[in-house]
Amino acid sequence: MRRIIRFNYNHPFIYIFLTAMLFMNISCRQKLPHFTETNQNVVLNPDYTSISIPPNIAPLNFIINETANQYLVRFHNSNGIDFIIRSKDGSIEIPQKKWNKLLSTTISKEFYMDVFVKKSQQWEKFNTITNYVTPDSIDKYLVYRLIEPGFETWNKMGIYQRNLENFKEPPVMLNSLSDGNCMNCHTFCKNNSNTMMFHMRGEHGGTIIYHNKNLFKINTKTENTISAGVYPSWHPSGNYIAYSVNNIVQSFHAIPGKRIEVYDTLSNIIVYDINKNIITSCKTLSDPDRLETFPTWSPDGRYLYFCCAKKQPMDKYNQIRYDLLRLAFDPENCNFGTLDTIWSVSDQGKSVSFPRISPDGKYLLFCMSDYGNFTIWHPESDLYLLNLTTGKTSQPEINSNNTESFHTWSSTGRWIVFSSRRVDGLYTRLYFSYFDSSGRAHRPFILPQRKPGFYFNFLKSYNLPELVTTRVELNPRKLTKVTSSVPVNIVFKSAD
Amino acid sequence: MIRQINNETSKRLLIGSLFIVFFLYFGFFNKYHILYLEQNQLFLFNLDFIKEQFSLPGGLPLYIGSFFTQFFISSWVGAFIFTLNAFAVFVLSDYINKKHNLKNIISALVPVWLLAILQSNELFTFGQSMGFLLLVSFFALYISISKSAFRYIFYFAGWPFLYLLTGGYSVPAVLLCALHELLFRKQKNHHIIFVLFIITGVLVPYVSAHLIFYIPGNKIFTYPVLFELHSYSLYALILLLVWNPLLLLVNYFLNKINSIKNRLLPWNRTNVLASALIFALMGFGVYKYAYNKRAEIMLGIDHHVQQAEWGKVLKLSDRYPDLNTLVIYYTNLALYKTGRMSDKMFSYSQIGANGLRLRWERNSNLFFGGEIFYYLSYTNEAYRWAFEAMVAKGLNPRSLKRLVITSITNGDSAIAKKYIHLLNQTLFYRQWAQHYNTYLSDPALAENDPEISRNRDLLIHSDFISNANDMNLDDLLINHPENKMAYEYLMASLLLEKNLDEFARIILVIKDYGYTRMPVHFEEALIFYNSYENKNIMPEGFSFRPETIRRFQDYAKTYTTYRNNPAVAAKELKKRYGKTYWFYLQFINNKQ
Repeated sequence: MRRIIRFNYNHPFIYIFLTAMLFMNISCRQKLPHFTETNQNVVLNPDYTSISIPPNIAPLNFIINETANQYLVRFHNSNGIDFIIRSKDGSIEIPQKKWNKLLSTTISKEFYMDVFVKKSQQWEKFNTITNYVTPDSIDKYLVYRLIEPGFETWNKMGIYQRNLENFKEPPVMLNSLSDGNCMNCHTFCKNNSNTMMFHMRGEHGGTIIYHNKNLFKINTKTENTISAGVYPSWHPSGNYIAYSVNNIVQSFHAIPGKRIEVYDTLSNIIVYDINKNIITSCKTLSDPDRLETFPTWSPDGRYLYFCCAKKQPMDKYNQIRYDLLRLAFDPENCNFGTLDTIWSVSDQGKSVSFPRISPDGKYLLFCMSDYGNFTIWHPESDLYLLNLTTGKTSQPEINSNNTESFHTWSSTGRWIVFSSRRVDGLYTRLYFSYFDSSGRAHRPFILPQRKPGFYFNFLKSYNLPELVTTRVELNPRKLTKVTSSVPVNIVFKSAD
Repeated sequence: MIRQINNETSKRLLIGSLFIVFFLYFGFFNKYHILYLEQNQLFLFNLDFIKEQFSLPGGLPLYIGSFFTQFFISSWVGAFIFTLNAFAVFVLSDYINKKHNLKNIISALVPVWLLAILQSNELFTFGQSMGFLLLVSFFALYISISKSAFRYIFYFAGWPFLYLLTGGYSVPAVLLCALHELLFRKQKNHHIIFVLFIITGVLVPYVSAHLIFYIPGNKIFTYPVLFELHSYSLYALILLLVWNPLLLLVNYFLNKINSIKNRLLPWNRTNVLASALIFALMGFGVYKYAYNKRAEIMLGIDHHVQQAEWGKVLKLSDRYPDLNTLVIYYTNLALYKTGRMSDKMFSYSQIGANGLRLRWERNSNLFFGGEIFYYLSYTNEAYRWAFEAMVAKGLNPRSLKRLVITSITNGDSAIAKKYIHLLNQTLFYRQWAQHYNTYLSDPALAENDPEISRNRDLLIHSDFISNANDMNLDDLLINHPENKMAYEYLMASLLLEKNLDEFARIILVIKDYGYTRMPVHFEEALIFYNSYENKNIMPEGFSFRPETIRRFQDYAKTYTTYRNNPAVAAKELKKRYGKTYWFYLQFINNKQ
């Protein structure tokens, strides 16, 4: 017999329940103690003040940087959501459900945080913090590599996918399952987690490609190329991957403030045709007197952008400066066309690296430093924005006094994620910035963590953040089968 | 009755004295080894540390082991903890044996003996010993349950947990429990129980590797047991793991031949004497084959370098029997720090300029190799070695402390704060961390710290790139010509490389470094050079001591006498001039 559960609206329990709920809601407001206004801004760690956040981000937990006996934060918005979090140590962990409710009722509006601290039996209130919830969600998953910001040595490393709506962080690949080798350069095609690749180095060397549900391993090193593929970029069609091939050198500085120099003595660009299993290049991309690197495709797939510098002897590594160029590309026939210089700064004592074009093709975000291309070790490196329509560049207000480096766009082009060493100058952390329709990048905020003090203890750097719309289906167990396999060799065919 | 009491007393005395010997062996002979174990890890009182430890099977012994290892800051406490653990293993083993009708203390002492062998190896961390203790504890608990149904429940519910917590150390428990049921309980359906136990032992690790842990296939049944050991240590480890199952099997067959068992196993005077002899042999075996005297001296030198007890470094170095790069590298550092490098360095073994620094390698060199750069005030390089050592080894107090000091020296307060924050979560480095934290809140205090102050005075201002396996002494001197250690190391490297042309050029500025007399080896080298090259180089304000000239003349005469027979010349000259630069120059470290 089928049981039907009916809700009896006349049941006294309902009234008791509703009254209790109402009382609880009122009591939240009533729980606010008597206080005095400090008229000061409170310092939060991480700094989650005056920021724009997506409606689907995980709770922004934080620590109140004030010495006090008790702490209290009131979260509220104009739609009646109002709750309080208390703390004895200043650590504020926001319940996921309350947070979701707050954000979902604040879309395209602001919500407020009132921070109170109790000192000498007296509650004090700081200036209200106002944050904006954008109408645009961020891609649900962020894929990155976690590794010590070391010099030459590594130990445990892994590629992880973080669900940005909560704090789950399952691994995609762990080097503990592949004899501790190095792995890097995970890349996706148009924020699609079903089309991805990454490199394995050392004993299990090769490039792992996941394409059309096929998982395979290739060897991109040929007799005609400098090295195996290094910095990749997926063609929007998914049929090609452009790689730089580099001879990379690492050196160590002696003065305070500078640690490592990573530079190329040789570099070219190749294009790998996935369907034909061949790689190709042309004279423009393989000029022996120049260094070509960091390829990136335009969203229509008709241009290959890259950085290019005049080759210098090793002792003049600090005179290697890159300009931004682009080469026309015919995706149907895999032919290269004419070359354009897009942004020339080498003659001004600057160097361009990591160009990334917004999905609508209007903007190009890049790093600029004094020289070289491996900007994560350049404290002066900042992010710049090139308007591809007007040709004008600007410096978005998302930079700091320390390194800003690797960055990617969300699938909608409304969010930017980038690496920064602004916290301590060494450990790379990830920041999100809302990029509104007028082309303005909003004040960034750090990737939230369940434990507000997480970053104090965490001794790994976040590497290569890539936003993807759906969960990566791969995991270390699935990948181990292919990572230990023998890679398929690729044939080189010159386009000239 | 009297005889029984006497037996019991003598038994206790014998066992007690054995554990005293065990304690003294570790306290006296493995002092530095214990201190080194403490330096290799860092126990943190935070949840992230627990989470990391339990990310793979076997987290519990490693976590407990790390907890106890932090107390190895005192070698005697370390020796006491080793002894307590060994005693617990003995009591449990004895209990297990008795439960299987085997009343013989030797068999219960074998695991203790094997632990003594294993713990003499610095690679065998205390977490490994804890793994074994948890294994025997589980089995002892298991056999203490008399009711079969409860025992089965305990196994099927408890062993999977044991696997999750102790990993590979739980695997012998499968065999032990299964053999116990098969050979000693013989309950109804004991064959089925045996098979089910084995199936559980295979299935649980396999399933957990596919659902819970990310662990390589070849480590599912073994991690974290340290099978990377070599020689006697590896045999001892294997025997330790199979000892109890083996004993069960042997005992099962012995029980069938009661006549042998009755003669061999009871506690009588003959057997006491026999046991004493066996124990003596076991002890001799440990000392002869497991104890590594060279490693102990080497780790002792390392310990005293960390304490900046340079005299003790030289004392231990004198005791080191042969050539070892680490010992030579530390000895040279101690010679410099005691102001004796240019007078005495050839009184110690030398292997050329490679003995002044360690080669960059992704192994333990990283842990030791940064000292030279720290004392040379090459702060970035000292930071780099400490950082790489921390990455390679994991968190350890030595690297973290060095990272804090070099970061403060370089003005990287934010990074220093991060490492101080970690040390502040430890038991024994909290005070140190809080002391250095005051430097961050009040930077003027750092100027009163002699180490930081010295390195700040010599802070590099003109950038250069680190040369692989070099010390960049020229660059350091360009930055700070007053860097006396860089000058003396440069001179030492030229002497060791036998580059006397360059030596003769650079010795001319010796006065700038505050020398009031020419050091003996400089004098020896310059006399030889002047004589060989027919030159008369002499730094202004210095002269050769007549004694040195006389010695050189005697050396040259002896050398000329045996010129046609270098082997005899070397033998004769070594007696009187083996500790001179002349002897090194002509007979040591000659390129083939």
